[in-house]
Amino acid sequence: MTIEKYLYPYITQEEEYEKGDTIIKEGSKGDWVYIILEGLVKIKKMTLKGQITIAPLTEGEIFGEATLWQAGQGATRNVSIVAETKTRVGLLDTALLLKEYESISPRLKSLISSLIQRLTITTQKAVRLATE
Amino acid sequence: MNSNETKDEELAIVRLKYKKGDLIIKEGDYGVSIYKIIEGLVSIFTEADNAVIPLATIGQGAVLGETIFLNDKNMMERRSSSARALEDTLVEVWHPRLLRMEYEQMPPVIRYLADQTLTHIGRMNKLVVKLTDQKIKQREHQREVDPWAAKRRYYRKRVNLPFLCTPLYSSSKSTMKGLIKDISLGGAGLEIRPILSPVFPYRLGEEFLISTTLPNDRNLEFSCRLVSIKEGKSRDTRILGVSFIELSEHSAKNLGFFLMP
Repeated sequence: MTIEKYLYPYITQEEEYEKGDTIIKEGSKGDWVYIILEGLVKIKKMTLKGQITIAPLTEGEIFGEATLWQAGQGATRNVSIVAETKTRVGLLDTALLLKEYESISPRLKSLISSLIQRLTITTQKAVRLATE
Repeated sequence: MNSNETKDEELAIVRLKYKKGDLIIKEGDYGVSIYKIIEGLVSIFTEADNAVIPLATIGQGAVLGETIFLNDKNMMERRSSSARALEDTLVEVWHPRLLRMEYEQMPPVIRYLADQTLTHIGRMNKLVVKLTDQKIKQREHQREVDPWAAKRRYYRKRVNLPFLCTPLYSSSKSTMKGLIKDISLGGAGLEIRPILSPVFPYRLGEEFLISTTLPNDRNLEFSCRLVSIKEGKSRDTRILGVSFIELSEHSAKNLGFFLMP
């Protein structure tokens, strides 16, 4: 998957991780949004039966966006992201993204926040099923 | 009046009422509308192998049927899941044309983020379907092997743990003692010996607070509801079945580790 050209101006910084490195730690605070420029990561979640893998993410995919819409409210990360291979990620400019988000209509805003909420609910459900 | 207002008027926002149990969206149908829940509760589900698989329960403020809108290429698409009102529900219906202009003006980066979230939801839905399917097959298999165990939702471990029990709302605030005979993530079986009263003083549905120490020396405290009362081996003992109402995160963790096979 190639990275869409219009995304580059939003990348403020790049970071590199080795296989096994934790990029985002579940429970930590933060509102950076990441895009995978190269490599593969896994979404992981802590459960009563230990940490389980929920899904892999690859080049061009975004993670960390769930807390963006609550930026500045001290939201915590609800999953961990761990590098599965050597991985290069881009950090997107949160302030710029929020400015763009503010420009959209209230209807679209409620649509996006509903999507984030739905993703959280479905993830919780999958985790519950996987560990029951 | 400017042209935008005219457009809005042509595609006026309609409010629809659904009764509890009504189907709002049917999987596989072609649809164009998006619904925002103003009041009520809705279950999103899909069907696979004749089994209904619930994907999410959503309420006030949430949006339904949005996948159609975010699919840029084709505004007319089959619904990927169904939605049913779990309570009397009021929704606001948005015609996608109403949103079209707003969507086209949306910065591409935000559209990209929304599309990504939608892709992730799709992936999670598939995972839920797969896991539910596995669970159903597992249960069917269990039912063949051990019909009794299949009735239980959770793995149950036999124990012999002394506990202290306080009724939550009963006028009698006396503490009961006994032994937890088995425990799972959903509830426990208790053996108690009524000390004086020949009549067991509590009824089904009563709530208790119970504390004990697990064999691994971890504390466990939970509130629970009485769901069954049976006579024990001797006439003055009772075997009580309780299901958990609330388990603190700390207690759930301790119990989870203890119950690991």
